[in-house]
Amino acid sequence: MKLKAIFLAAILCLVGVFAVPAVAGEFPERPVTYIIGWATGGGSDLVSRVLCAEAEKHLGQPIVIVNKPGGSGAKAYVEISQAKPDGYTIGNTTGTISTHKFMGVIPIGHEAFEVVITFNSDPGGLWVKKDAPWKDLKEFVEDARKRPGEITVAASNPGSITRLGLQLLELKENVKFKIASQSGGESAGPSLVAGGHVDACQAAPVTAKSLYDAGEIRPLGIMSETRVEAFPDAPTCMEQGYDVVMHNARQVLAPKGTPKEVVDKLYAAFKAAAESETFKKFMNESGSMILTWNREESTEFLTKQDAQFKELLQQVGLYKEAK
Amino acid sequence: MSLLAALQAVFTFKMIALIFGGSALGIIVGALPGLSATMGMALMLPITFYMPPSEGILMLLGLYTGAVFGGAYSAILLNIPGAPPSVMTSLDGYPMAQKGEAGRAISLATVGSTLGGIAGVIALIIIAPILAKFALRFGPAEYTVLAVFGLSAIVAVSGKSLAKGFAGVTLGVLLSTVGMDNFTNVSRFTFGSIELMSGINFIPVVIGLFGLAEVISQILESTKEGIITKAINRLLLSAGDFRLILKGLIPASLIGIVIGVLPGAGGTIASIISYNHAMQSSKEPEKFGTGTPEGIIAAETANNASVGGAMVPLLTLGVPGSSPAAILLGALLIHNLRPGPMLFTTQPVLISTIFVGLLVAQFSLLLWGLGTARIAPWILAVRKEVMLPVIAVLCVIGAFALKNSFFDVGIMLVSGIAGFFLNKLGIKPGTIILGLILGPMFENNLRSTIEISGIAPVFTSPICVVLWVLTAAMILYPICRMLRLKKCESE
Repeated sequence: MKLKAIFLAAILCLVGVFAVPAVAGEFPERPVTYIIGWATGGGSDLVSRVLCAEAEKHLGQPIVIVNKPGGSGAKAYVEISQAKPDGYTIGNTTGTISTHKFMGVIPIGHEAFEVVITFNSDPGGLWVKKDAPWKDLKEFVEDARKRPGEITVAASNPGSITRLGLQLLELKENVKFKIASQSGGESAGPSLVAGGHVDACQAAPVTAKSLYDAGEIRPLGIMSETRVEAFPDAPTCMEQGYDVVMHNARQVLAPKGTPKEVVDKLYAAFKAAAESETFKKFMNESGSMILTWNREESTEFLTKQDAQFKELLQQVGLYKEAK
Repeated sequence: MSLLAALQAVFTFKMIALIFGGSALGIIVGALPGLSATMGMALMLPITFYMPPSEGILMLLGLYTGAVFGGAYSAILLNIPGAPPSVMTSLDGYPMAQKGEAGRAISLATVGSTLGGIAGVIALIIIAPILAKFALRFGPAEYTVLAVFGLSAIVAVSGKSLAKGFAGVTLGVLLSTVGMDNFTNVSRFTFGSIELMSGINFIPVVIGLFGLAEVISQILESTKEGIITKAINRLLLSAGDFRLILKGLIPASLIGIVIGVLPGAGGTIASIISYNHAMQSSKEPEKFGTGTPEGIIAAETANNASVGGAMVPLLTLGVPGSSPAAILLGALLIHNLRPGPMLFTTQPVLISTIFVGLLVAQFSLLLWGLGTARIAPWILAVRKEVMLPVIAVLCVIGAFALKNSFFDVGIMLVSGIAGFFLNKLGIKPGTIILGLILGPMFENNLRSTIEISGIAPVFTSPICVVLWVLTAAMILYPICRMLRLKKCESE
C-alpha cells in the first residue's frame, strides 16, 4: 500500500510539470512559452534559462521554458515560425538560423520571424598549447603559409559556425590547415590542444575558458571586433591586422506577424534582463559576450550574417538550396 | 579545502535525505525483478534536470549503489536475481534461505556489499586523481582502441552465445550510425526527418529495452509467484561469519574495482569472476552452490566494489563503464559538466562531494539492509496488475520528458517491443546499449585520428599497445579457460 502511494505521488508530481494553463487577453496576461532548440544543459539552454529568469520579472508573467532539441535548432525554428503570432510562443536562435537555409536543412531563416533581441554572441577564437612555438597569430599564419596542410587544427563538423570561422581565416589569408573534425562539437578541442594531440583548436572563449584559466592553453586571436570582457588579455584578430570576424550570436524570436507593441514589450523585458546583474555575472563567469541589439540592429546584423555565411558555404562547397 | 567544502555540502539534512532516499529507492528497484539500476536511474534522470548538479548526482549515486545491492533480496528470498549483478548471489543465497537462514544470508550480503563498496570508493579517491592527470594523454587514437576494448569486453560476456552477443552489439552500432555524420555533413538513415538528424537518443532506447520489454514479458509470460511466508530468522552474524567476510574482502574488492574500472564490464562480470575466484581458491569448492557464506560474500562484495571502480573512467575520461554510469554521464552533461580531466580542475568541490556522497551511500546500505530484512518479502508481494501499468506509464513519461518529444516515446515503444523479441532470441539488451554508446566513440575517434595523422597512432601509441594487449587477453581468456575445462573433463 505504501509503495502504491509513493508511485501515485510520483505520477501526480510529473503530471503537474506538464500542466500548462491557457487563457486569452491583453499581452502578457498569461505565461509565455520559450522554446529552446537545444538539449537541457547545453550552452543555449543555460544562457536562456538565466536570461528568462530575469526577463519574467520585467514581463510580469512567468516564462515557461520548453526544450525541443533536434537538428541544431532546426526543429524549434520550424515550430516557432508556425506558432500563433501573439507573443506567447517565442524561442532562441544561434548562428544556425543563417546556415540551415543555405545548407538545405530547412527552407526558413530570420526573415520568417520577428526578431525581439540579440542578447549574446560567442565569437570564434584560435587557441594553442601554452608552450607552442607561435608567439602570435602572425607567426602562426606565416608558418601555415610555409607548410600548407600540415598544422593540425581541431574544429567541429563541416558547416558548423566553429568550422566556418576557421575556414574564413584560411580563405582570407590563403592558407590551408589540416582540420580535424570533433564529433562532440568544439568542446573537445581545448583538451586535445592541452594534451598535444593537435597544434591548435578553433573554439569560442566560453568553451576554452577552463583550460585557459588552468594555464594549459593560450589564445592567438579572438574573432570579434573588440576584446571579450572576461578575457582582457586575449587579443582579437583585428588588432593584429587580420580582418577576421566570426560571431555566433543568439537572438530571441517571435513568429512573423507578432504585433509591434508585443515585440516592443518583449524587447524591453529581455533588454532589462540582459543588463541585469545576475545575467552579467553569469556571462562573465562563463566567458560569454552580452549584447542588447533591438529589432532593427538585429535585422541588420542577421542580413550581414546571411551574406557572410552564404558566401562562405559556397566557397567551402556546402551551399545547397532548401527544398 | 575542497574536501572541507564537500563535507559541508554532504552533511546537510537535504543531502543525507537525498542519498538515503536514493539508495532506498535503489534497493526497491534492485529487489523488484525486472527493474534494474539502469532503468531506475533512467526514469529518475529527468527529475535531476531540475536539481542542482551535486544533489541530482548524489541521488543517482545513492540509487545506483542501492540497486546493485537490492537485487540480493529477491535473489536470496525467491531465487530470482532482482538485477543482473545479483545472479551469482542467488546460487548460495537461495539455498541458505531454504535452510531457514534467510536473515543470515541478507545480513552477509549487506555487510559484504557495504565493505566492498567502501573499498571501491577508497580506490576511486586514490586512483582517480592519478588517472585524471594521465587522461590528457588520451587522444582520438587512444579513445579508438578504448572503444574496441570496451566492445570486446561486452562481446566476451554477452550471455550463453557469443554470436548473439555480436549480433546485439552490431545492432547497437548500426543504430548509432543514424543521424548527421559529423565529418561529411551527410545525413545517414534519417529519411528526411529533422528528429533523426541528431541521431537516436540512447535513453528512450534504454527505457524501452529494459523497462517496457520487461513489462511486456511479464504480461505475456506471467507465472504465479507465491508470497513469502517463511520466517526470516538469525539476523545477527556470528564471529565466524565476520572472519569469512574479512577473508573474502580483499580479493573480491580488488576484482570488483578492476573490473568496474574497465568500460563495458561492471558489477555482473565482477561478481561472476569473484565467485569463480572464491570457488577455485576454496579448499571445499564442492560446497559452493549449496548455501555457503563465501559464495554470497564473494558475489556481493565484488559487485558493490565495482560501483566505485565504474566511477573512475566516467569521471576521469568521460567513458561510461556500465549502463548506469552512462546515465550518470547524461546527468553530468545536462548540467554542463563534461566529465574528464577538466572536471577535476574546474569542479574540485563537486568531485569531492561525489566521493564523500558515495561513502555515505555505502553506509546507507548498512542501515537499510539490516533494518529492512524483515519486511523485504512484502515489497516483492505487490500485485503485478498494480505494478505493471505503473511501470508502463513511467516508461512513457521518462521517454517523453527527456526532449519533450513524442518521437522519443515512439523510439521507446519500438525499442520495448523489439527488446521483448530480442530477449526471447537470447540477445541481451545491454549488448545493444553498449554498441549504441561505444559505436560512435569508435567511429568518430578513428576518423578523427585518420584526419589528424593517419591510422598509425592507433597501433603505435604506447597506451594503444597496452589496450590492444588487454583486448587480446579479454578475448583469449574465456577460450583458454574453456580449453582447460575440457582438458579437466577429459582427464
